[in-house]
Amino acid sequence: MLKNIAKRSALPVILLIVAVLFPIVVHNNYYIQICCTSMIYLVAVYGLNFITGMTGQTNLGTAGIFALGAYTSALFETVLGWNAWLSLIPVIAMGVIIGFGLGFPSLRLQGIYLALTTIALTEIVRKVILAWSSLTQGALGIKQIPNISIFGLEIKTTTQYYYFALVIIVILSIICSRIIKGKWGRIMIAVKDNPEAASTCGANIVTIKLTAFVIAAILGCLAGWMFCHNYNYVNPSTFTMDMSINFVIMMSLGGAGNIYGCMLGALAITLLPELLRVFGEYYQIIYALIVVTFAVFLPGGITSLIKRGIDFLKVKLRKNAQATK
Amino acid sequence: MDTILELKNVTKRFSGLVAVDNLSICQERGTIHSLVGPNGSGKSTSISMINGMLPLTEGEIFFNGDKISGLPVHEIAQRGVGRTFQNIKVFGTMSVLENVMVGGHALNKKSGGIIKYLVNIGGTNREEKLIREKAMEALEFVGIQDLKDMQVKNLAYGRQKMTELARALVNKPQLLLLDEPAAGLNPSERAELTDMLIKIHESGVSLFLVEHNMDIVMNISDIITVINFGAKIAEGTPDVVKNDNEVIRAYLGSKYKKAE
Amino acid sequence: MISTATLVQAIVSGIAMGLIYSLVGIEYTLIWNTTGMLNFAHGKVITFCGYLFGALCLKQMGLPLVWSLILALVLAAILALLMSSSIFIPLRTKDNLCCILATVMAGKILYEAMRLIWGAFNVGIDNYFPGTINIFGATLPATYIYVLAIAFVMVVALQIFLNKTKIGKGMKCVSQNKNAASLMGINVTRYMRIATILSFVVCCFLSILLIPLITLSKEMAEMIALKGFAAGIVGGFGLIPGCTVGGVILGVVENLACIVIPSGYKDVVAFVLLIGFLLIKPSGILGKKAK
Repeated sequence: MLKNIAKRSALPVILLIVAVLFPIVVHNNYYIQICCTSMIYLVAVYGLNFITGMTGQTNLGTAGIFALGAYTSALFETVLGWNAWLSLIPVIAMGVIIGFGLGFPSLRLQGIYLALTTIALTEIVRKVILAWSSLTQGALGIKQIPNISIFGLEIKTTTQYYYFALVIIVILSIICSRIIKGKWGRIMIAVKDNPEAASTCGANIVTIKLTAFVIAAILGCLAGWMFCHNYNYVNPSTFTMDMSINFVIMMSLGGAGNIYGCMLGALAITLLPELLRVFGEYYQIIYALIVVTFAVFLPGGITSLIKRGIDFLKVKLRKNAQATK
Repeated sequence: MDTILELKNVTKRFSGLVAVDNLSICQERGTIHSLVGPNGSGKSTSISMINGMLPLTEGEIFFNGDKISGLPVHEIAQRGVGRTFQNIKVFGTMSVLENVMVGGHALNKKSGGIIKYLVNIGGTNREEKLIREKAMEALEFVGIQDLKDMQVKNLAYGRQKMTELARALVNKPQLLLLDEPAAGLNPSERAELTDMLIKIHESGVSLFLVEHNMDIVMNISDIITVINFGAKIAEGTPDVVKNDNEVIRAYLGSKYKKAE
Repeated sequence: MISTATLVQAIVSGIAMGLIYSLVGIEYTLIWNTTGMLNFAHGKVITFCGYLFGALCLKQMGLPLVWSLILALVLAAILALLMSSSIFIPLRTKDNLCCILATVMAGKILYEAMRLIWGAFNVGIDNYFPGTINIFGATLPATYIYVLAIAFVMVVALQIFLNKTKIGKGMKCVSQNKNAASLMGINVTRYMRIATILSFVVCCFLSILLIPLITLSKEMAEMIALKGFAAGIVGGFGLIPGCTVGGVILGVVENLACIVIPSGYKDVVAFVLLIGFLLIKPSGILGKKAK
């Protein structure tokens, strides 16, 4: 049994060690910041994974949820003077509200209609933020959002933020992993594959869909909270449909329904602009072509390719073992 | 009679078309009750109304004396009514074991929501272990435990049917609704299915069977209800039914004609 | 007290913009009905056609108006063949997410192409619908009237084409039942190509109508494309007459709403209508209630 636990925790432990050592080995602030951004986006992608990757509901509105989390936090801190930890309460409350707000339509709308609804909601959020400038400063954005402090230590530098984000990611990864691997994860995939059959197994489809949306919205708002404390500045032009699409790409490129897939996707897509810099002017086109290739030929993402590789090796090893007997 | 399932004057209309017409059935606990009739006679509609997937236009349905018509599907399932589908509904992307474990989703009726799930780690681990055990039991009962890690969509049709059957059994249902279980099976698979249905029945489950294949129905049923155009035209033991002139005329054909 | 002039302006320009939304609805509905794919790149297609017409033909090649129109239409048709062969036809059987990502990325590629080819282009294009007109005391740019008239003619012409001609009826068959259509000897992929060409031709006309209204820029059709979705939902998704009705209602309601609410919220109206209809009457105004 100990061997089993060792086998299962090998990969996460290795990843954790690499992640902890990374800023120590790589002193480049620029790359550390990229990792910070990846981790912030990863939180939102974990959320999107529950809605789309697992429960199978199309969601192109993650940027809107992200924006609402960020602005809720920014407003409570700059206008009411709350500190970051206290503003977590309205941020999570906002997540719950949006979760139900998006969840209820999802009970009656499918596929493309749900996609259009989520797009519409993102646009409404962005436009209202722009137009209601007395509250949100409109296009100027909200500046000078204070940093997070833990027991008096202010998180100022990029490296400090990196470790702060890493702790959050580790906690969330454990929580999400428990949900995905257990009965809630199974029932969400069941709802995606065959909702009628799932209900004959005693599962309340309404509860499950709403739960998925609320979790996703809370995570999305949390990501927004993290975002505004990293950049100390929010403005509406960041939260466009492009951003929503990027979140979807992160989730599906890495491999939907899978914690490692989300990590891989978030890191890869955030890193991709750097890697593609060699193409200069053409990098967006190459990026688009890569995404289309993956969407068409590898809908299961990179992790599905790795899984297939591992299965193939397993079969080969078993055949070899039988052959040598 | 200890009634496990009762349909009382059940009618279903689809804007002008009467699919089920004033159907009344009384099934005794521990029996195999079959509903037969020509194509389009309202058999699948009836099963869907029993398990809650279709609302009734008129009438009531009782399970163990409690009214279940009007309840949502998952509640009826939790009370102990299992169901399999005509064109099997399995969860393609999951493995056989995972499919069957979904059947155990409502095993622990007091398991609560997701917050409790995350907080009560001990309880959650115990529940997961319990679901896995029950799922393995169901797989062994049905005989496909060797396939437990295979992805369901890669299996042969007959094996997928067995997976769906195992999934319905995990929750230890009192009544199992089977919608044309023999559809799409070759003769040897049908024989396997018949043996399996008898085995399930002997373990204490009442079966309500909608079926087209008369060999199976005649062989295993305790009571048969024959319907045509949504209305009951005959009911009784296999012997009674196969000698009923109405039934012979409408449906059975000369093979089962009373010997002169 | 709202003056008649304001009201007239709101309604007339509302109908003009509304008919533009209707045309947007029609162009994506043509592809949606025949292939089952929603062309999320349609905004960029419209803008691309605008650059083909305004930047390439009118300014860079110096062609007169009519020849520019004809050349732009031909180029749009070629683009349609390219996109239908690479995206709409091969990917139409894939799941939702793949289709959405593929069309969005195609849009990105078009956008980049525009940026690379015409990024430096900033010559103004003279309004080919000049002048003003006076209706009930309101002075309006004549552009709105030209747009209204041309868009109206197009909508009617499309209706006639789709209902009365052999090609149009063929497309209707393919939309309703692909299997039956192909069993009847109709070449389904050929009609998908035709539908895409027709759609992009409409996009080209749309860009020509939009340039005098909004001026040519890479982001020209973004909002209009999204509002086109709202027009379809409001009027009846997948129904050509639905797009017409939905578009006009959207255009007029938008403008009338701005008389009472601050104009910064104008764009929100379309999306609120979209969500409202999807929640209350998803089949739209003209659609039949699904069982």
